[in-house]
Order: sequence, then C-alpha cells, then structure tokens
Amino acid sequence: MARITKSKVAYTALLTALGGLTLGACQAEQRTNAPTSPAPKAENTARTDGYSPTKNAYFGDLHIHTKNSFDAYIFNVRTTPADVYKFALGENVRHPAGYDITIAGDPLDFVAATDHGAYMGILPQMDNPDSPLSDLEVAKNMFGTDPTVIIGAFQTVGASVRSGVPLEGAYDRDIIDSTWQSAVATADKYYRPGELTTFAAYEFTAVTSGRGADGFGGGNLHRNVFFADAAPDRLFSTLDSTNPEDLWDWMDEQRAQGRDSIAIPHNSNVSDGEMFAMTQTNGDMIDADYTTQRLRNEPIVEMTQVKGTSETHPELSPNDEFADFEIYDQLLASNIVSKVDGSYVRQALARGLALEEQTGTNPYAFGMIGSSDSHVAGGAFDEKDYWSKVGIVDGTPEARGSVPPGGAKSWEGIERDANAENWFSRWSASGYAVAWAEENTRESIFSAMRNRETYATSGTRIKLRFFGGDMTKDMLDAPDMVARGYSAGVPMGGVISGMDAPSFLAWAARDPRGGLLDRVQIIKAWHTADGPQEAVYDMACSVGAPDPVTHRCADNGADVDLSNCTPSTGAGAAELKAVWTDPNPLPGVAASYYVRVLENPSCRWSTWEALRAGVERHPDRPATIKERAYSSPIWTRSN
Amino acid sequence: MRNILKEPLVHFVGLGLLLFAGHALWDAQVTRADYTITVDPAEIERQAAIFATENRRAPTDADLEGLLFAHVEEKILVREAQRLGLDADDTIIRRRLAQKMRFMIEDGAAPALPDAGELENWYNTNTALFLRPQTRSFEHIYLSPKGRSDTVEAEAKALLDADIADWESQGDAFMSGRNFTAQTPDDVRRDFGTQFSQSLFDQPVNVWTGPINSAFGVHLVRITETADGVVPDFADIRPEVEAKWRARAVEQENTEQLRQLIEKYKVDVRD
Repeated sequence: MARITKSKVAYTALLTALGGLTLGACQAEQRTNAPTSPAPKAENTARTDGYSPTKNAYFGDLHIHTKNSFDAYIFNVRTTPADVYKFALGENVRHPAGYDITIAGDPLDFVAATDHGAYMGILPQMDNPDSPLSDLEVAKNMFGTDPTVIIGAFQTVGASVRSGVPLEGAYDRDIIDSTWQSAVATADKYYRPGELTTFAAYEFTAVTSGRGADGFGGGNLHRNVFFADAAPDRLFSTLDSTNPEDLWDWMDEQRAQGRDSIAIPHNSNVSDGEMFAMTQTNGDMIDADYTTQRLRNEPIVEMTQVKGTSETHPELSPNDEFADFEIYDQLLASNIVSKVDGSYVRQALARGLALEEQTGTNPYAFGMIGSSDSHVAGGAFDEKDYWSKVGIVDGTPEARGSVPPGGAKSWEGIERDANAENWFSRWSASGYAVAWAEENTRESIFSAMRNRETYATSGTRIKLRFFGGDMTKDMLDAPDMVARGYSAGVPMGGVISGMDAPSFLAWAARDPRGGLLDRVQIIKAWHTADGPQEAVYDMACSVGAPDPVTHRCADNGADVDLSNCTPSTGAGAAELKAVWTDPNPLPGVAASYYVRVLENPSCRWSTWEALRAGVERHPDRPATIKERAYSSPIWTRSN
Repeated sequence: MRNILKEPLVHFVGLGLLLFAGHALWDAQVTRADYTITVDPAEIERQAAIFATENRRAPTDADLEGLLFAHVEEKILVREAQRLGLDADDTIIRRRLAQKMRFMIEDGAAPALPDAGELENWYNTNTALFLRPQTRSFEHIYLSPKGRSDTVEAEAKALLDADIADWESQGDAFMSGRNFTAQTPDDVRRDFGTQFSQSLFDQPVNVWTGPINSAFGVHLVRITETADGVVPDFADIRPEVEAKWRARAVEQENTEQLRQLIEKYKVDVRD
C-alpha cells in the first residue's frame, strides 16, 4: 500500500510539472483586410462531392497532441499524427491506459495534429537507446526509475519551453525539423478532399512569466499555428522566441513567400489576464502596427475545450444566468487562480472596440471555434464516453475524480486526490470547431477560418446559421432562406456598415444524436467610457416567445432523471429560428453580436461515470450541463 | 543398496540436496555480483562525452569525479531499491516494462506482401472489408412540429394525398437542404438521425412517400436514384487491398507473438 501511495505521489508531482504545458490558452484576431498572398494559386475548378454555394457545416478538431509532444510522451502516449487522422476517420486508437477510444458518432470532417513545436519529437528519441539523445543526462533521468529524478528532468524541459533558453544537447534541431517535416507529410498523406481535410499545424507554447510555479507553470499564451496548404521546413517555437509578436513576424514572412497561416489562441481562461491585454507583450501601448498584425494573424480563437470555457466568467457577466458553465481557472501546472480580467472572449470583444477607437483597427475582432486539446490523439466529445485528455494519469474515472478513490461508494469522509479535485474533475468533454464552407477542402475550410465563418460547440453537433443586415421575418419560412441571408447581409464573422438598425437572423438545429434545444440567445458586447459592456437577449424559445421586458424565455421545464440520465420528454425544440432587432440600439456606437444556443440539460460526464460505477457522484461538480454552441460575432460599425 | 536407490523418498532427498547445493552456489555468486559496481573505461569515456556535449567543454578531474560519483550512487540506489522489492510492485515501473515489451513485439518487421494471386484470393474471401455501402439520392419536404406537434403528421398525410406540385416550395426550410445525392446510410443518419435513415432505404423509387419521422419532425420523401452496395474489382483497389492485408497480417503477427509468450506461463487464478 505504501508503495502504491508513493508512486501515486510521484505521478502527481510529475503531473504538476507537466500539467503546466498541457494547459494552454490563446486568443486570436481577425483582420478586416485579406492578407496579401503573393503566390496566386492555380484556379481550382474541380468540385468535390457535397459542394454547395450556400455552404455546409463541417465539424472538426484543430487541437490534438501525440507522442511527439513532450507532455504527452511522458504520460505514456505513444500514438502518432497518423493515429490522429485514423481516429478522425472513425478508426479505433489505443489509449495509454490500455483501452481503445473511438470518436462519438460520425467521423470528423477536418482535423489537425498540433504537437508542441518546442522539443517536438525529442522525448521519443531520448527514450530510444539507439539515439545519441538517450545518452544525455536529462534523458537518463527522464526515463529512469526514480520519480523525483523523472520530475526534475521533466521540469528542466518545461522550464526551457517557458524561458525559451534551449537545453544544450536536448535541443536537437535536426530531430525537431525532421519530426515536423514528417508531421507535414502525414497531414498531406491523409488529406482526402471531400472527405477529410487535414492541415499541417503545431502549437506555439508561450507561457506568461509573471506568476506561476517553477518549471513551466504560469499563464497560458499558447497558439496553434495552421498552414493553409504549403508549410515551411522549419517551425517557429518558443525556443526561437517566447514573444507571440515575433511569431506573427515569422508568419508574415512565411505568408510573403506563399505559405499562408493563421494562429489560434486557446485557453485564454487561464492566461492570467494576458491573452486579451490592453498592452503589448512588452507592456508598451498597443499601436496600429500591433492591432493590424494581430488581426491579420489571429482571426479566430478556440474558446471551449477540455480545460474549460473561455466565453465569459460569472464575475464579468453577473446578469448572465448561463455564464457559470464549465469554468476552469487554474494556471498551468499550478493551483494558482488565473486573473479574470483580460482572460475571456466576451470582454475582449468589447475591449477590441475600444482599441479600434484608439488605433483604427480592432485587434480582438475574432471568430470562435472549439477543439479538444486531447493529448491521446483523439478528442472525447461525448459526455457518455469520456477519457479526459492527458494520458495515463487521468485515464480512469477514479484518476479524474468522478468516482471516489479506493473503491469507496460515497465521498463522505474521503480524502480527495488534489489533481483530480483541482484539475481533472473540472475539465470538460469539449469541443468542436465548425466551419461553414462550400466544400470539404483545405482551400474552402481555411478560407472559412480566415473569414471567421465558424462557430464553436461544447461537444454537441448543433447546426447554427447566423446572418446580419436586412433580415425579414418572411425569410424564416422561405425555401431559399439561406441564399437570401447571404444576399441581404453578412454571415457570422462579417461586418455591417452604414445601417442604423440592422436585423439579425439565427437558425439552430439540434444534434440528431444529442438533446433538444432550449433557447437561442444573442449577446451584445460594446464599449463606453466606463469600460466593457454586455447584454444578453433571448431570441427564440422552445416555449412561447421571450418576455419583452426581461428578454428571457420562460423555463421550458426540461429535466433529467439522474437515476439513469434519461432526459424528460415533451419540452424542447428540434430547431429554433428567429429574426431579431436590437431593442436598445446605440446610434453611432460600434458593437459586436454573437449567438449562443442552449440545449436542454443532460448528464455531465462525471455523472455518467458515477452512475455506471454505481457510486455517489462528485458532490461539488454539477450533475448536469446545458450543452451549447457559440457563433462568431457580427460587428456593426458606427459609420 | 540397489533397492535403496529405487526408493522414491531417497530420490526426493537426493534431488533436494542437489538443488540446495546448486542454490547455495548460485546465491553466493549472485550476491557477490550484486555488491559490485563495475565502472569500466568505456563508461568513464561515455560520461565525459555526454558532459562535453552538454557543457561545450571537456570535464575537469573534479567534474569527472562528480559524474562518476553520481553514476555509482544511482546504480547503488537502484540495486538497493531492487533488493527491497521497490521495483516489484511499482505501477510506473511495471507499466513501463510491459509497454516496452509490447513495443518490442509490435516493432517487428511488417510481413512481406504475398504475390498477386494469393492477394486476390484473400480479397475474394474478405469482400466484406471492401464493400461500398448502398446509396440513395432523394428529395424531401420537411414539416416542423414546432407549434403544431399534434397535427403535423395529419398535415403531412394530407399533403401526400393531394398531388404534390412545386414541391420545393412546400413545407419548412431544412437545415441540411432539400436535395441529397448518393447518400450512404451513415450520411443520412448524420443529417436526419437513425430512425429516418433506417426507413429511407426501404422506400420505393420515384414516388412521394411518407410520412417518415426524423430527429427534427416529419418528412415526405421521393427517392430519385438508388445504388446497391458494391465491391469494387480487385484491380481497381489493389493498393487498398494491400494496405488492409498488411494491417491484418501485422495484427495477427502481434497477437501470435503475444500468444506464444502467454503459452510459456501457467496462469493460476485463485478464489
């Protein structure tokens, strides 16, 4: 027993060391002007099956790690980028805890493996006796038998990722380059236009330096970098520079050579307030160069994933009854609570409008996506079939805190594992990136991301249309509603100029495998001298219409039977649609509007796991959640 | 004496003595080896080389002494830990060893492809692996139950009984469209749900039929084209056949190796 305890403690400490890196956040910005891409592409006239001029919703995951990430390999992950694509196609992949994982429901339409650029592929070589890297002291320590020494070695690598100071010997650029080139080739190999779109991608793993634990603990400034098609032979990691602005310079250079890319920030929720700061990385005032460069390189953000929701926080949105949703706030590899201000997307939408007044460009005019951030080559999107994300340390219900430790049936008087309690049990079965694109090709999906015609979900496959401009109620029943939406205005991600009272049309359809819909909401963010402002309006209800004074739907009475996780019948809608005009317009004030769709409540993953194990569910985690979708905003200009 | 030598008890005792003697010898040998840490010149050179790589300079004598002391200390700690049995029940070590072994098995060379004739025979006996599913092309009219859940089915029937004219303007807009081409059962399930997908493939061709229920409401459908499931010719999909044969062969090889290992053991499951 004592030995078991010891190894558990060791793994816990190792996890703390490692966890830092696996937590990431980032934010992105969208440009209003298309970046200059000097290499004109050959006209692509051949269309794939399913091509539609009014676009299809494609579901994807743009954030997945494999054994080539240092914080995956150390947790026994041995799956490869090829496994990421196999998983996306619906094949089984082996989890390090020894069972097979399969995607919930249908295969993915698009996907990318995003291993950490820093030390990409290095740990597998340190663990390979035929590689000279296995002779390094740090390698022998990392793959030795003494847990304390293992943790120390891992911390050394993590600290280097954070500081950007390369470890002599371990920073083997040839191995990193060849691992990256192999990842690019694998993405090309699995690209099947019309069926599965893949992208060459990696993670730029910047971490704040202000607060945080030792090693790489701190605030998450991570970005995933995607190439539209052609990718360079070398990637740009924190070992080149830890400053995201230097990453943008490099992306600009690559773009000038015909290799377009975008960077997608993630986990702003644990960025310690720095992802959507009001200053540059070095603390200087934000200027026009910064805002245009950020917008050009970061048109979308990943705002929901396994490590929580970055939409908003209850402290920032006290009047939003649905804001307290899968909130996670621990800085990377630590138990330090992240600063709320500057860490959430909704506030950033308002801040961006203020920065636009100062500099002429809104650096936070970004669209939304979700993704998984799985470190085991495949995302757990389904509450009923969850495997968390890290690997061996959170691979069982007990390890992730949905089931009491040691075979106990209840949580009464049970000493809880700190990592399960503070980290894993708070994580989510989330999320998807959805792109509205004419067809399932790199060109079409990348262009959807560039134009922000994307949305995010918490792991459900809700379909969501959103248009702004001159929308009229008769369109709701028109057979050509979508075509008229495009011609009478702009889709999600677009900008409306010169209209006094634009109208908005939203249309949401349930996931055929998921729950019924409760309501569709529209959320407005703007800025005044008093700071960021927000308002939440219900737009369409499953029962009746929103109250004209409170702007809220009546409670539809939907519930879940917690003894078997069966949802109640009779309440909820298969689809909801409405046209809406702002009842509190602000003439002459720029604003952003985005849509949030809420499902009826359903069991959270932790409830499913406790139910299956026949034990009491975790008393401090919600029994149910309301799955949701978030559109990219539509912006209204004051002129 | 001859008789005594035939006694089973004597055999047993004699065998025991032999074993005991053998064990004592073995034990002494192992014990001596167990308390010796050998550091040969190659090891010293290796440590020096690693130091030079990591520090960009040759180690001084003091550095070397430190390195070797750390090396020896580690070896001794590992030995002592093993002696105390700390490795025996350590989950990390156990999993790691098992995983290393598994990778050794799985890293075996991929079996060579059989010749074309044999491959085609394998394809012929495994056609299910290459079956392209049946498809339907169809049009549909969607009636949303919102606000009329009690009457929507009757409305659909009435619409079907009347002659459907200008079908594209009938019913409600559907999120995934009104026209679908060459859809497999999985494709249909994805947009409409399982129940609808199962019904659709049983519908007749070129007539409006229904109502059929989906995850969204009620539909009238008209199948415009059907295609049965088909197995492509061997020659047309040979790379796919090769890939699937290889995957199958590797899997069988791995399973076989593991089976052979397991066979070497007696498994004693106790109540």
